[in-house]
Amino acid sequence: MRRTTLLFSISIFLSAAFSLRGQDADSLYMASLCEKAVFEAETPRQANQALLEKARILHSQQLYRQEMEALGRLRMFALRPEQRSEVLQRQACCAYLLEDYDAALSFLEEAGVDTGYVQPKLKSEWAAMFLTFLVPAGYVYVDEPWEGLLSTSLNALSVLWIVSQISSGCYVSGILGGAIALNGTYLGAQKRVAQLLQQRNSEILKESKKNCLVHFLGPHLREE
Amino acid sequence: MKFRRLSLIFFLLFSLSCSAQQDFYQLVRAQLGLGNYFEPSNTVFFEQALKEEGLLKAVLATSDRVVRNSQVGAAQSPFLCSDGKIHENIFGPVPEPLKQQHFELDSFLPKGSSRPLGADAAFIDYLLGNSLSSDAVYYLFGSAFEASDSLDFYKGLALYTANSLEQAVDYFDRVPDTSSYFEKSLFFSTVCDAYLGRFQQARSRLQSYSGSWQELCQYELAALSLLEDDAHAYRQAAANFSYSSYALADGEKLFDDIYRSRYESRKKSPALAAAASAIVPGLGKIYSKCYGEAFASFLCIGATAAIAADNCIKRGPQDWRSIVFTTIGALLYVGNIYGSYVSVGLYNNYLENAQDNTIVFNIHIPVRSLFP
Repeated sequence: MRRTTLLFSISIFLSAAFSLRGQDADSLYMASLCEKAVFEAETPRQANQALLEKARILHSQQLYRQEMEALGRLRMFALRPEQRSEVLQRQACCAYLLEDYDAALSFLEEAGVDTGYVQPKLKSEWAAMFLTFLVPAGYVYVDEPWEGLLSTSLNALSVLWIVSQISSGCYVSGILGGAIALNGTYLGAQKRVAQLLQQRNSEILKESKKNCLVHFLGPHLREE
Repeated sequence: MKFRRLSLIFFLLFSLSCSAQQDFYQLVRAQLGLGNYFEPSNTVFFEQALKEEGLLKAVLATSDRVVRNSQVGAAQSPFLCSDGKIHENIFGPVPEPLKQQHFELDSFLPKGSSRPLGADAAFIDYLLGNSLSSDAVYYLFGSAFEASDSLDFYKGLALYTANSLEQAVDYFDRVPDTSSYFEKSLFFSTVCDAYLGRFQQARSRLQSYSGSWQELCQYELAALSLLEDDAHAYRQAAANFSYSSYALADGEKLFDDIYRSRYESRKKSPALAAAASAIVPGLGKIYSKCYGEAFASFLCIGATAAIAADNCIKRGPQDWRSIVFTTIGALLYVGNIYGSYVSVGLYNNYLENAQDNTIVFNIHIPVRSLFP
């Protein structure tokens, strides 16, 4: 018991000293010493203290994923409710810095924070699909009018091909070639609009989650 | 007539500017719903083929690749990797690079007075057993331990577990043959060398071994023979298989299966694939089990041939449109024959690569279970 406490105290002292020097190898070595304190800990509380220290060192090295893993190994039952909430908020902070906003929101919810997050209104898939029957309208709906212009030109070329071939009596070229060309240009436009819509919607979702998280994690993030 | 000439010039300039402006070219491809299923892209592939194989082969190989690079062509392809792409250059399949970690070991300055490792062995085992291998590396290199064979072995093992194979071999090699860790170090360094593709080094290491793990040694030698494509050496090593050891039996049977499929079963003929595609476009691809590519080739060549024939009949063979479509059709047709010829070798290459990955994986399994 005494040996563990002594080792742990030395670890804390050394980690403070070395982290001030800001040397990577030293800090990582200190993180491994904290892991030793976890291994030798006799009570969950001691293990938690060591893990928190390890997380702090990893945070100073901007190793957020490893920090989140260290925090995830804390024995939650041995923490006080306010400590538990603090740990979950730190995990949310790590997830935010790793741009995993879904995980960050779920950590905050677990911490009992009422984020009040409401999913923003997204662009409708059905509307996009119907509007793309008139090619440029679909592109305008997903805020890409220039791409719409390009796609319309390509569709016009396909139609021009069909008309010119059929008018000069080349029915096979007109119908077969036209079918292939329209398959590319018209159905390609449907596919592209669906792709752009998905991109836009995920950007909207990401941005709204980010704004919501900044509001709640602001004080933590300002400490960085 | 003037208008037609102007449109032809405009079309040629448009095509040239499209290919010159890679971003615009990609944008047009996106409007046509064309995905890119190949890595590297067709442009890079053509440049490489032109440099390595000359104009004719570059044009044929690229025209075949253009047909394969479609939703239909890539469907059910045996060559698709986990990222949904086919990694292939002019020389064949491009294996995925080995993901390795590299530690700046020189930056660790051991602190405190030296002590023996013995007392910390349990802690190192705990770290390695709990996926904390990076911590094990930091601890072993940051602490002042007395130099010993066990320290070198544990350093090697920690680096190996943390996926830093080249650095691991350096430490395994330091363990002397008089040490009780020697055999473990030898087999672990063999595994590292096999992953790193240094088969000759692994072989010479094993050939100098005369200890009690003879069956494991022969097992590893047999695997290395398969990786080096040496059938004679495989038969020699496999003669020592007992097929009764719990850790080795499955691997021994698997190696025998791979050996039979490589050296004893009848190989597909590239010439037959090419001939089949000359008769019916895409048939050769069915022969080499590329069904999506076969269908895509048949559709593309069939449609181009129909359009070319229609133009020749209605406008005459002298008309520029007839010439353009006949040229495209002929290019796709010959490209498909060339592609079918190559696809047999390509299929065998992909199969061998997959088998090699299985062999390397099975070199590692018994070492981990016999030396936990």
